[in-house]
Amino acid sequence: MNGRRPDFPGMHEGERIVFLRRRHWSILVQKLTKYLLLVLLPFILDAFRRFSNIEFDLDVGAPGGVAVALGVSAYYLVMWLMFFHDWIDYYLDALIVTNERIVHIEQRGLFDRTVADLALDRIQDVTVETKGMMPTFLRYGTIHIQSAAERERFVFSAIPEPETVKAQILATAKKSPPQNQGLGQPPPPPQNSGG
Amino acid sequence: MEIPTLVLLLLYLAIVLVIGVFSFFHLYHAYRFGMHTRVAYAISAAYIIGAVVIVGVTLLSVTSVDWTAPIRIELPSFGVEVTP
Repeated sequence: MNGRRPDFPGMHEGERIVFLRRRHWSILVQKLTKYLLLVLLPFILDAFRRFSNIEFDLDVGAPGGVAVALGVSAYYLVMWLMFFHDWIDYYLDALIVTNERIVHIEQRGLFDRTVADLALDRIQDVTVETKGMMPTFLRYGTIHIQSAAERERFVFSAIPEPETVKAQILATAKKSPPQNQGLGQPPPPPQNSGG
Repeated sequence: MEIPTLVLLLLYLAIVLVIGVFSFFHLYHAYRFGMHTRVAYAISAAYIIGAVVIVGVTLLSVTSVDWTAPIRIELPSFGVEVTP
């Protein structure tokens, strides 16, 4: 990645990001496509007005023209803000694997944010799911990470190259220093209490 | 009913103010919770520039308007005629 290496809120001292993944770019394109149609809406309405012979003085000097100019401007301002909102919603969803843990950041709207982390040595299972024609052709899918807890904690959807990400997670987990018995790690040696 | 055209400008500026407040929330959120990459800064800067351009172009295009001129608003009658 060019420029400054990214960090994330809550990063520990000495913690190092191994890799970071966001959702597949097609998710953002789907959101932006609707804005493309909404941007064209005033032009479509104007074309409709011309073909239907509706008389309306759109000269900016005329009061009606002022109302339309200010209304269209406010409309595009709202569209611009909504586009920025959707981009933030996309950009702040991330799956981050560090040398210590996996961090799953999910942004749902502006004031709804969930950050969950899972120590690498507590990973029990990593499953990849690719369903549908678009995910198959564009190579994105869902990663399910099962921890030692009963409830499945991590589900990250629309992640690009999920098989590669799975392999990277497993490789990073194997390299992490063991604390409890985890994936690919031998059980700790028995400790004599002495006496 | 006739109102001064200036009312439309005040209404527009009120909308701009509300959008400005929400924009601040979004930019603050992007800075506080986002990963500080060049892409994030570039998109945020593009958003600010785009918003300023939209408002600036709009205000420049209406500088020659006579804001004291009345604008007539006629409410639709829906075919109802009131006879004395």
